Amino acid sequence: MNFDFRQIVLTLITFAPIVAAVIIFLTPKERTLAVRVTALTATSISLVLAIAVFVLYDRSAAAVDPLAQYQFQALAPWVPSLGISYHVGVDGIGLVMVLLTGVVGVMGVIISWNIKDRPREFFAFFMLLVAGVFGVFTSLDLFLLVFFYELSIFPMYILIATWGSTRKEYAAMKLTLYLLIGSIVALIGILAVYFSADSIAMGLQPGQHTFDLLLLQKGNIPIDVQRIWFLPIFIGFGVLAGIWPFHNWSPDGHVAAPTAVSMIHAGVLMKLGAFAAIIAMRLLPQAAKEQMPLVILLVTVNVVYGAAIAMVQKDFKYVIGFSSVSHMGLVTMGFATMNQVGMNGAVLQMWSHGIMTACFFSVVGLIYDRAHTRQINELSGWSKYFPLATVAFIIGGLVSMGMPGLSGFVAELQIFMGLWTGPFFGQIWYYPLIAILAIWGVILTATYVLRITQQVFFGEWDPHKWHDLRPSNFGDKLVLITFSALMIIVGIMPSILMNTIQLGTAPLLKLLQGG
Amino acid sequence: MTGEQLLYGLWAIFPEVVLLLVGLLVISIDLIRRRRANARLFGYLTIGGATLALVVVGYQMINGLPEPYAFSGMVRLDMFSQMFNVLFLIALILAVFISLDVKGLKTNGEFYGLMIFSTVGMGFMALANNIVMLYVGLETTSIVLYMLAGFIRESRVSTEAGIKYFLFGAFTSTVLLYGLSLLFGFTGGKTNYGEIMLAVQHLAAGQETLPLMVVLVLITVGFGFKVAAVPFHMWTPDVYEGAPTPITAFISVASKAAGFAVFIRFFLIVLGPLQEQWIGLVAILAAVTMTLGNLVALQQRNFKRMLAYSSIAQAGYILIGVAAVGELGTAAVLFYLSAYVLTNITAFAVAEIATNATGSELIKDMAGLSRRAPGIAFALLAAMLSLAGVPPLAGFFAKFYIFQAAIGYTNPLGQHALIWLAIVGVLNSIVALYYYLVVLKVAYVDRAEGEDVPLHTSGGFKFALFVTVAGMLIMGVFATPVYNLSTLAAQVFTH
Repeated sequence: MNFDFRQIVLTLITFAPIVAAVIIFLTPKERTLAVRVTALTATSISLVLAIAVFVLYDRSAAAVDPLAQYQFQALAPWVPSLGISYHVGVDGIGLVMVLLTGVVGVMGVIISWNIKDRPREFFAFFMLLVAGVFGVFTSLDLFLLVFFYELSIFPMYILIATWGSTRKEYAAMKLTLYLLIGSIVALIGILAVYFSADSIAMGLQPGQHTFDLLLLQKGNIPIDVQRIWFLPIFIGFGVLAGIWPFHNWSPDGHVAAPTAVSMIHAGVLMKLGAFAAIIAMRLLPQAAKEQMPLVILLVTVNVVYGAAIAMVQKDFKYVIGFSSVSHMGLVTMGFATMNQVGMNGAVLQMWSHGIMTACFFSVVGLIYDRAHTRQINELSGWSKYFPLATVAFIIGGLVSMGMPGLSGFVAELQIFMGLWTGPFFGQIWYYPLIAILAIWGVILTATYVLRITQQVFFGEWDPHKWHDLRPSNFGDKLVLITFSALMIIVGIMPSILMNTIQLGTAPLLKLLQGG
Repeated sequence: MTGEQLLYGLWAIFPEVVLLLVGLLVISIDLIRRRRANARLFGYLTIGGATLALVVVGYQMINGLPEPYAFSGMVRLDMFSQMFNVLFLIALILAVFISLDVKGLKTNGEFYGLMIFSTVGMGFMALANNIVMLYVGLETTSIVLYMLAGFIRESRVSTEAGIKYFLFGAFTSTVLLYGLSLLFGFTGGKTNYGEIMLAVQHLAAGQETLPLMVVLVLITVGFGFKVAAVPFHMWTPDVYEGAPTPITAFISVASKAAGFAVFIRFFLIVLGPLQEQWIGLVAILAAVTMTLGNLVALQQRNFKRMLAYSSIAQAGYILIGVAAVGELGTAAVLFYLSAYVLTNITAFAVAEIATNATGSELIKDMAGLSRRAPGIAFALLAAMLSLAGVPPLAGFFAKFYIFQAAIGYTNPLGQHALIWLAIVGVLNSIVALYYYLVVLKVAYVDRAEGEDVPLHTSGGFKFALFVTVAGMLIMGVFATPVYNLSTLAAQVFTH
């Protein structure tokens, strides 16, 4: 075996947290510092490698040859008799997501540095969660993808039920059941595709099957199989992206989870849903053409309804939870436009929402740790105490409203442009109507963001009301500054990500057109 | 029978011979040195004997045999039978490890002797290629297990378990015997599987299937009891709750596996010509079994009873693989059983520890386990998630193979006729996930008095748990070796 850096780097990114989880489990439980340092080291290694992958990705090759879009590939047999292999690699979309996971992973460790209750178990499960997420974003084998997908769901249960707050057991159970139902339905769909793919067209022996995504894309799936299984796979994974009416787990889960888990969860895990759902588009392009215009109707509800519900929430964290439902609706909407601009916007929205929501949740966590309440009407004047957190929250708020100069604007603008343009095969009459409806989501977003900002951060500050005031430490500040900086940098220079995203969406579009 | 044939036959059943001798040795020592025996001596002897038998089985598997049949075709030694033998022996070893700390059992040679004898019976069930052999093996196993279930005579629930197990078992094995004797009559007095199969084929070709349907139903009752399939499952919760925990663990994995060994060999070979008729029956049995098992398990408060219903549901999943005949289906069953042996024994081992520590078998009394004993709680986590079928544990691949086999099954018309069963299975595994997660919630989240008191367990116990958890993780990541072995065993029926 050739231990070329380009071949093992993705494996290292995924397995660094797994190794850390094992080490943490074997550490004596008194040695909490060692536990934290191990977790931080592992996520940092993953982040550094993710940046390295992002820099080293050969953009010129990928631009010329769609076959070269998946880079840093490694392939090893796993269960050869069933065509299951360990096949990893990233395209432009996966690349941006791996980078996002790296950033949010490190920040999650830093923000939960001082966790008191059984830190050893907390960090071990957190590492498994991060590893599962990395695994999904780099998998090119569908079995491997489902394996990592479920691996990232079950630690959520323990993390939320044990370290969470506010109806945590209910929320944890609801989240786990929803997500696993979705993933198993999708798995059944994948199995149906697996058995109906044309072995000869994929270059295999007759009767031989494979889970390899790159081969299955060439599998000429019969059109009736496509029509039956497109929605089960797309929506099955889409549950994790919060597609209406299967979004119900998400606000409860976000609210109940401890801060770091909310960050990873809303920031990264929901993107996992969208990322896995577009696999249905890759596998079943003809059905995608027919059925994505139906999916867009569902996600319109997400965008408007999510924002409307967020507006009337009394709990600070629920506002953010429902805003995620709304913003993730925009992501799926972007993919449903099925044209280059809209899909570019969707991927950038995945990044932008990831950073923004993680930032929101860290601010909420900082305040909740001190105030021990999240009722919006009980909080006021926190800008006096937390100027930095206020700035970070306002930047995040502006991103979510789509303020020009920030990353959210670039993303949302492209999604709406995509909606006006319509799918590649011609305009569908209701797409512009959807654009008009969805813009209301953005307007409602502005309403609730401004309301919270005004209520929570400005107004009377009464230091005597709070008995547990502690200054934020260096780690908290680092997290807030990093997130704010990323939102501004990508807003000013979207090209640093857009160039890469473009390389991922162009082949996806070609696949849809070819079908 | 010539001397050479006899020697050959003895070599074919050599693992059983070894076990039998060890069992006799244990019983004799118990008689001679009663009360003076070194604590745990019998347990270690049993583990040693089982390991020796395991080596013999391994040797037989690697080197193969020139001719699979022995004793005029009464037994058939092949990869299939030997893989089951490996499972029985591993289950025996692990169950003995769990029993090493149990008061009243660990110093009792009779207990270990009986466990060994029932394993011998199971070995013959896996080897059986003849209806008489099948029945003898089945009864040897069952009668010994009735005694073991009621082994703690001072305990009312244990005695009740023994009696109940015996009454149900005796009844269903009579029904089975009736079915076998009808078959014997219909097929013109044949006893070996291959010969009966030819006769059945002849009858089926002549459209005379009605008498065979009666046989099919009667035999399904007998086997259904062994594997605890609905509606022959009534004994399971009471026996699992009442029997000493190591025995419960042993019954729930080894006896169930033995049931599947005879089930598969009998249905695939003897009733092979009637496949179209029985696949539907088994599929319905599977759907009902897993649905009922899971729904009732949801309501259980006692951990051992919950595991009993969960094991009924697991039998349902395994039956999916039986219904999806062919290489994929049978291999999936074997893989599932291998994963299940490790997983369920771990679950019962944790039940034993928790019961010892708190004196209660209720799920809610496992609160604080993760604070008292993080390692044990982790073993529980692994077992529950593996039963639920979550990666990276053995149960994930097991469920995946089963569902894959169901979806990949095509009937003679070329239709994928069992997709509905896979969907029922999927829905069921979600119901099941709920009650497995509730156990984890109690162990990890709920607080209890005395949760800061560390829980001490013996080295042997820890070792056994470490082995099973490591095994589940390894099988959950590197599933290929066991799966290849299962495929080899399944090819016995297709090649």
